[in-house]
Amino acid sequence: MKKRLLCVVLAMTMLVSLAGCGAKKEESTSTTESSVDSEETKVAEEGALSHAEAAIQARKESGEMPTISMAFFSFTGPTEGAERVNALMSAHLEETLGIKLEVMNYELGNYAQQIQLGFASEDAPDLMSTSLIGLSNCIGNGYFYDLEADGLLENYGAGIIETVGMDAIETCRVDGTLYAIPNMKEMANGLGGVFIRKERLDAIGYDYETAIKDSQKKAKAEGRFILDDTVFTDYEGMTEVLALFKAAYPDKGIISPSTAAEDHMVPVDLLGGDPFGILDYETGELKVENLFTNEKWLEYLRWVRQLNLDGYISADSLTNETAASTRIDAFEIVCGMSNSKPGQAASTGGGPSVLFQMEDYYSASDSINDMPWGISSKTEDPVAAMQVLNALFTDAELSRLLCWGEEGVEYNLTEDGRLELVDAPAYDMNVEWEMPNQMIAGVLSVQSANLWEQYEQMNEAAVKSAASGFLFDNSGVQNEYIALTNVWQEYKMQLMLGFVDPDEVTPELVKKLEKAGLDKYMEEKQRQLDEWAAANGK
Amino acid sequence: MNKRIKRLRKEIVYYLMALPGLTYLFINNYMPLPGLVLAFKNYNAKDGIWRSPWAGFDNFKYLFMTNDAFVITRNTVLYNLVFITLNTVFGISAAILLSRLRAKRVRNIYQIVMLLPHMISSVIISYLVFSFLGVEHGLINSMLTASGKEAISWYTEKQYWPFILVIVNVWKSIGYQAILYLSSIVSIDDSYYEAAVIDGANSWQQITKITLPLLKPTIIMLVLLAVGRIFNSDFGLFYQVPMNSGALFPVTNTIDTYVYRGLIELGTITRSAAAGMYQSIVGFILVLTANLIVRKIDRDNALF
Repeated sequence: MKKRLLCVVLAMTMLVSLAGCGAKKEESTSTTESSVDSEETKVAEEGALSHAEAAIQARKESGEMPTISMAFFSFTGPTEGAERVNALMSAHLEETLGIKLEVMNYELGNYAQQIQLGFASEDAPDLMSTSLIGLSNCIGNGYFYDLEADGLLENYGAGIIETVGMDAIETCRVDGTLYAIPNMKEMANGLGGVFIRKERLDAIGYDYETAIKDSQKKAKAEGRFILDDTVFTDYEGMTEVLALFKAAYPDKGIISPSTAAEDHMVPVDLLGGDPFGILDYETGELKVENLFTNEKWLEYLRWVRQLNLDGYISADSLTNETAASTRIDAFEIVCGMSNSKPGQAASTGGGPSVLFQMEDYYSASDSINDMPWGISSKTEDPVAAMQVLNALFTDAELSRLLCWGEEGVEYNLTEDGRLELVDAPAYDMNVEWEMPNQMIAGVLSVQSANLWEQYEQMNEAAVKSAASGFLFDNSGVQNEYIALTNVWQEYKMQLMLGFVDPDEVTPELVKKLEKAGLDKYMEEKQRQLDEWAAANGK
Repeated sequence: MNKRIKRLRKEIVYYLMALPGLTYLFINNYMPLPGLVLAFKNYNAKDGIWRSPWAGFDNFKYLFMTNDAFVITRNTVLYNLVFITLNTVFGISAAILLSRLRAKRVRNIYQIVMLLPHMISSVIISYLVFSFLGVEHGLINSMLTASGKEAISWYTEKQYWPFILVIVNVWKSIGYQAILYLSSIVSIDDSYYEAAVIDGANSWQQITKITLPLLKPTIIMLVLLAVGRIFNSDFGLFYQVPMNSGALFPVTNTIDTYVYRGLIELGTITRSAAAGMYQSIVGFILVLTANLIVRKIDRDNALF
């Protein structure tokens, strides 16, 4: 009997040691990888082929295709057509680069966690979007590979440099090391937007055509930039429109306030994405201020509070876990708030909408580098990873597959080359803005043909943050960050949904935040900002 | 030697029965132990767990920077003390009442009905509670407004929640507790009660003089086990039932929900590991102390 027990124990030990072996094996493969690298360089030096071409040729000759995985999130995770489209992308890359592609598409809510688990379990992606995690978090956690190691970017990412431009790329350099590549997207946003579906405005008899025309005329006269389908307004004007809905639908929730108001509704620069220490666009100074006592912030909250008191916000919105966008789609609630960019009014909220905008266009300090793409520090083949990244930035066919799916299945081309989506496409991502280069993927038929020019115009017209390009690294004050976040969580939803009086709660909130280390956190922001300003000659 | 083998052969079935449980225990409770080292590391993915630089006690600092550590420890311990007391009292009462029911079928029905909440997922419980407390269409608010009183915004008013959570917890666990005690009660020899009846003891006297004294070892064991888990809170109860409402954090934040939020919001494994370790160590000390006290009073009933 003892023997039997012994067997069990031995089996257990074997299992454990096997797990150990698994980890070791991986290390040994990575060493062989580097020897492959040096062979490639040899080939490159001998022939007239470029490094990139040589790498492709070497792969095709050896017949061994490495698999590169790329991770990003979408709102729902992979949809029905994902497998088919992913296979098409992989086939395309096998042909052009001799590399197989594996797509790791996670649901928005799980993304940061899945990436974290991936790195903890040796199952990390080779390429990944930093969106939702944050570049400085990624760097702090050691997720990223040095993109300039052995001339990686220079030799294999020429297309990236050409497309993105070195100025923008430089914003992802931290302490001398280049960790990521900014994706191609808008570099400014209209703040303080309320999107209302046109059909709903029609139903209450609101003449939006005239309002849009008036706004456009006025903007033209003032030399101000304005997006399509936009009505410039203010808190008072907005309430007037909402009041029409309130009269027509007394039992409905009229508006769902933004739960990211500090980012979307109020013209302040968050300096790295957290609300603890901000820059005021208006002053244009490099002085870190407290958001929670900022007059614009309080003014916005007072407006929301009044909406709540007057019954515009559904009473169960604090506990209702259904996403606001779903409730708006289902017409449980009339409309919602968001920041805005060109083309958004055409499709936001499931249909053509009118954008009522209460603030101007602003370009935050991190608007270039808030969701760049990086190569994982765990990648076994950095060369192949860089080549795939390069293709994602330059290969229109690949980018179009990734953003919109397969031609003839998900979309049809219109005569002028725009993409007409079919009803309920099987591959339905809606995260083209997260991808490396949406701009080569094409324009939707509901958007205007000069969409990317509008992006340019908006970037030009936007009020730019004095700290444009600054990247805050909170690793030195993470204890404070956690404590502050915990305090903020306690008040956040109630304030943002107008369930408490901002003037009443703010002193208490600020006192708690100060106790949790707000001053120290803001000082650290200021210190890094000063250093950055000195280094960049601001 | 021969004897021992014979005995082992006889008992091997029981060992085999315990094997899945022991394996589970080993995988879940012992294999992650080396991971505790994370609490003292400045973890980064590139270097992995073992080669990341040491951080000393830095990861523990955030717990004590605000009064978070105090609040979550207070909430966890006080709630659990109340739960242990009430669960024991209600569990024993229910068990005694059930044992006195003559009709077997009725007893079974009661038992099943009482046990049911224990089997329901806490997400569903949270919505059951919500149907009572919902701001717009909740049962209680509908009753309040119908009788001309003002509706209460339950999910932002923290003063009610200590009571709500206690009620929900008792409702949820009474059936399970009752079964544990009932199994001890039915094993009490009927002849005690028969003798007592002949001596003229009434029901109350039977309970206090026979049932309770004979239940004492079971009570002590169950309470000790509960005390050992006093630092673990029922995550579903404290996270799902209050619908993760920020306004209620001061009264609903326990160590488990704090660690969970920390990990989800901030993704810092090391600090979550630190909080988990704090939880285990204080819990460990508490079990030892409780056991020590029991040993002092009644040596036979101590766990170890």
